[in-house]
Amino acid sequence: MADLDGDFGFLVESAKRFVGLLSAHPTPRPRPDHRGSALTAHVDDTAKGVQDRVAEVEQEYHKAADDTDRLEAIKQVRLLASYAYFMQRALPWLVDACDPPLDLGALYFIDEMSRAVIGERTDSVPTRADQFSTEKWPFEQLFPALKLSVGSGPLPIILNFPALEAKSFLLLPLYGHELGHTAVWKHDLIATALAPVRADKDFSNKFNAARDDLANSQGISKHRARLIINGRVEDWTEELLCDQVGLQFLGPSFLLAFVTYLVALSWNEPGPRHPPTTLRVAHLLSWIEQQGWATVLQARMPGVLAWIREVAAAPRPSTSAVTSFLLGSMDDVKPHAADAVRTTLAEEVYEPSKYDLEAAQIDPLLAHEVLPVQRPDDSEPFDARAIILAGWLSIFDQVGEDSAVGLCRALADAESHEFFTKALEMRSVLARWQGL
Amino acid sequence: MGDGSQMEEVTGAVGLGLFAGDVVLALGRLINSRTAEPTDRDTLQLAAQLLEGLGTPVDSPAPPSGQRQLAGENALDALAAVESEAAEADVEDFIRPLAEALKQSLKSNAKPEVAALETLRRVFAAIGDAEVSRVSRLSRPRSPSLPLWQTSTATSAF
Repeated sequence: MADLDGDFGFLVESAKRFVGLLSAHPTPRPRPDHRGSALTAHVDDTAKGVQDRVAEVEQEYHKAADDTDRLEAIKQVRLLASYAYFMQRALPWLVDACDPPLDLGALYFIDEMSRAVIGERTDSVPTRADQFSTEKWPFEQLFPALKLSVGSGPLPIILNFPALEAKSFLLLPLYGHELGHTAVWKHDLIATALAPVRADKDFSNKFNAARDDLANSQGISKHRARLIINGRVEDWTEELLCDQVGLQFLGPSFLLAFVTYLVALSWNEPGPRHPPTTLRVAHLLSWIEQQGWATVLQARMPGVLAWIREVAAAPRPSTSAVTSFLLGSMDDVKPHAADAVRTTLAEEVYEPSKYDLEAAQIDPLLAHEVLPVQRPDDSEPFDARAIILAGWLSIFDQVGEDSAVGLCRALADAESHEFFTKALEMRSVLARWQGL
Repeated sequence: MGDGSQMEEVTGAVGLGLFAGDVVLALGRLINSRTAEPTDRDTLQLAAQLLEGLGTPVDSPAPPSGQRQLAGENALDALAAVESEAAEADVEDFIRPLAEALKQSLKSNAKPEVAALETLRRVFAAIGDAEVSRVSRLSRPRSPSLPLWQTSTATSAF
């Protein structure tokens, strides 16, 4: 007979050792109310919660009525031990929180954008990774099992970015998409965008046909097929919503960053969590054209705009009936996703008229290589979004190649990136100074 | 571009696994003592809701209702445990009486339906086993990660 007591004791000691390692690790600690402090508190609370839960499971084990109960306790402590060890993934976050890997201008802009699109103060921690991605309240899903509740302080958000792009001013708009994930979660936008779609009888019929096709082709139950397709619909919808958050808050600079970065890495293939890139570009372009932003791009980069239109018109992949259904469902979702984000962002939606007013003042400054920080007419700081879009257009002009190749070369102009990031820093400093 | 799916998946799996263990233990106490302790009552009510969520009519395009434990892969693991126990029976027909038996057993002065509760104990034990396996799999070193936007080479239903 298995030595359950021995197994359990071993796992308890392992769990305690892992939690101890995490707590004792000499990572720097952020100062109170500084970047990373809310995240650090979240990590500490979770580690303590895991430790306390291990103690509870120990009590359960010793009260267990039979081996079934003992085996359940063993499973639980195994899960807790695994998770305590897994939590070491938080350590690089804490390091980057104390020594941010982005320039101040980028950090200030991210903080302002997060407050604008999420609607509350956040503790945003950019951290080096190999791709753009994000996590908010990273351990919160475990809180019910640990009998914890989230604090009332700033919302901790991890913003992973490709380490090689740390200095990239032109890719800053992509953080808008990442922060969008938190905005979508906070405002429950997936449900809002999908409610009218799911209520449509035609959609239901197509959904059920796709469900049956998947069940038959994969030899799985209809229930399983329904879960899989639903999951895909929701994941893709979330990505489109996040694209809209970045796009509506930032305008064309988001589209330019998006196509330059993402089209180099993907095309029309559907992903497990992401719709095809070409479909996403089509949705972004549609909004740009509806809102009147296309004239800005047409005036300064007509070749690029023509290329983006070609990307958007790329043929859809002819794959399975299920994929065809998913692609069609994103067409159904598109207007509702845009509306849901527009309603949520409200006055934070960036409009061409706002840009035009400031562009008329930014461009003369750039012509004389003056940092575009404050408006000459009233000394107010420029909107950061205007600096970013003007930066895109200016750097692109300097490259002198009106094509997708020009976009790529613009990303490589390190000196210009530094110039504009400094402008973002100084406009934030000015805004705070004026607010004192 | 996307959210931190591995962190989310591991956290979700551990959460569901711990919850499943709590349900098994609570069901054991209910079966043996015939009444549910207050903390067990909350756990078992959530379990009943989770079951009802899994058993929603298959013709509805809406996802299983309101259960955070049923996000993503969690729902697939929970469904696999139910389908395994249900064998050839229809999932909805299998779950409905079990969820009902659980809710009835939680009422004051009710006599627990032991057979149904034992079945549920096996289902939730299987869910816990699935989560332990999944956490173990996810915690292993991965091959160099591809950007999320590239088509995954992992197992896919499509």
